[in-house]
Amino acid sequence: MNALLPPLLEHLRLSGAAFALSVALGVALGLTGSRIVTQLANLARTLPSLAVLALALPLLGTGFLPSLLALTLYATAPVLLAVVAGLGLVDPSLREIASGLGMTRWQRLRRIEFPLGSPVIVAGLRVAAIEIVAGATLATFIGGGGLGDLIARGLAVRDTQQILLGAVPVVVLALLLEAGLGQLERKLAGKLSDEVGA
Amino acid sequence: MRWILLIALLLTHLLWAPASRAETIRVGAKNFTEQWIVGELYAQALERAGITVERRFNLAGSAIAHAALVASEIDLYPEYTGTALAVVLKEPARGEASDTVLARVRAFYQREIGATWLTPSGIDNGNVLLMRPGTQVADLSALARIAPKLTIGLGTEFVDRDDGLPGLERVYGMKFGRVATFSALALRYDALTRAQVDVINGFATDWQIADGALVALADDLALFPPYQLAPVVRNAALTPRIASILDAVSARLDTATMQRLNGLVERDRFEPAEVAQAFLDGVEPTRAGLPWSRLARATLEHAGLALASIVVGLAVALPLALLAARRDRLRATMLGFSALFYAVPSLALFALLLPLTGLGTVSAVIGLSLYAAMVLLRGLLGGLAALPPQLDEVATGLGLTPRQRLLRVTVPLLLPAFVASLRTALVAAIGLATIAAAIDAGGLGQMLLTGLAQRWPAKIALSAGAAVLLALLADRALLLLERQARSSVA
Repeated sequence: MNALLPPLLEHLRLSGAAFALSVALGVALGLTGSRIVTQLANLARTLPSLAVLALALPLLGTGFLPSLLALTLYATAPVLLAVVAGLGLVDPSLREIASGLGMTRWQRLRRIEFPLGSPVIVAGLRVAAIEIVAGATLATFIGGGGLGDLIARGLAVRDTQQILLGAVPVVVLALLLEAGLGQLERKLAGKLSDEVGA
Repeated sequence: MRWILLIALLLTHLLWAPASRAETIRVGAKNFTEQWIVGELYAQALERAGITVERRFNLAGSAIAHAALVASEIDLYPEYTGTALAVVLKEPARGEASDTVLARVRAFYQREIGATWLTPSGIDNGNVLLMRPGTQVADLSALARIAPKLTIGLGTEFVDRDDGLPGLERVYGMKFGRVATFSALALRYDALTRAQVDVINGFATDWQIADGALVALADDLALFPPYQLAPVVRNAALTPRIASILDAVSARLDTATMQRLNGLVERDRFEPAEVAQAFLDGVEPTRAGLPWSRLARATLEHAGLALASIVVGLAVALPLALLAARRDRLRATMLGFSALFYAVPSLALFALLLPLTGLGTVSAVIGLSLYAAMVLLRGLLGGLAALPPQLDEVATGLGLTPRQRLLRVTVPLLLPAFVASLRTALVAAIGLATIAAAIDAGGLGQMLLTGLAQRWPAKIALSAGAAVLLALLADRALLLLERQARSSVA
């Protein structure tokens, strides 16, 4: 447990921070709805994660910060694309009606567009969260710590137990996220169809 | 269908052609700069004598290099006596002279492994702990007293080897406040100069020591053994001619020379192969530019890896999808499993495949094809689930046989979803293939890792850019195919 706990905590800290940042960034950029931003996000989806990490290095050196930056950049794209797709689901006539009712842009977002798009948006969050948790193992290449350290050390000394000690918690974390966010997604979709039905 | 055949041919060539060539010497090297250079020196010296050489140059650790030698996946590689003592013999050093350690290691390798340590070079690549200038700490005993307040930056091996952290604790009672590990070894120096760590482990041949500016702490209780560098050769591959070629290389190498050569790669950004070539020619390497020819080769390798893994992934996913097509529970199980599998970190998957399938392309393709298979399976099962349930009845009512039903109805309707998942799988495979460099599969990941060792943003960006370009190309091509499939269905 002693060998697992510090890297696990590092991993959680790095993933948690990257997730929070990429959600904030992804939602903010997604709301602009600009075509260039979407195209950039699509391009970012093709960047290999290791490359993003390596490119962060000359800017920020080694360790936590460049790892955070790289993971954030990496996971912002799926959030952003999901926000754009989710909000795109909203019927334009609905938007006009809402404006006609005197709703401000913010009210429209909060009461109509986000609730209607939420299943798609949460699906995007799920993808981002799992990519972050798995991708954070690569931080070991630039001294970012986390469970990847255990995997890399196990690889270097051919110690399968050590590799598993690093890999199994990542899979468990990913499963928890998949289950938790998947449930949220279903709940939101269910609520939505209830409301539409009612 | 013809393109599948073409890819299969390419795949066969990629996987089996190199192995079938007779009379090649397979030279290994571990995954850091000095090993790349010395590995190149051995390889090029042998090639100059007309011997065909195959390079396995990114073995992710001493234990892996050793296992590759034992399994005769490689014939020789450069190793350090002290490392063999700690990793292979698993015996602690007892403060002996280099000759005694060499004799112990030599005897063990002959007896247990059937491999020979040739005459060592003049390189003694000792372990040192380094600090920034201005430190009051002079030796390791003094460091031990303040270690709990310090962060140490280490290569991955040093954490677990007896001539590493465990030895420091055993001999000096040293325990650090925090340990930061670096898979890209050269980055420890960045961390130290940027004051992100307080101490790092270095090697005596690191060029940064020669450039001054760092303080090497004395090993006052003699924990570290000598680390003479020598070629280790499997007896089955060793001939007097090979021995004399390698001896001639070793005779020209000493610690100061090696510091200079390491600096040429990491500070001056020459390719290890260029440095080795110039050294064997007895000249200075001429000004280095970005390695375009290497980029082209790496890109081709990379595309080959990705394509091969898609083909193998298809071969796995198609029968599974057909099997689950009419079985709802099996389909749910498969979907759940594929989600679980996709969460396995690629680095861990490659690491776990290593003992089973060895190093290099084969393991990489197996790992990558598993991920591809999961994506394809999800796409196919999703597509199957979306087919209208009455379809089968209608088709049967029209008098179609099951075979006709499959070929004329199911397949065309499934095609768009299938091509879409193919697109996702291929783009993902191109990204993931960079990580396969950790198990010596080459490709653009290998170039990224050397770029990291050289801290060369342009080279990193170039190899990343090539990967992006490949991914975009694949994406566009399959998107066109997908649209075609959709319009033909419509």
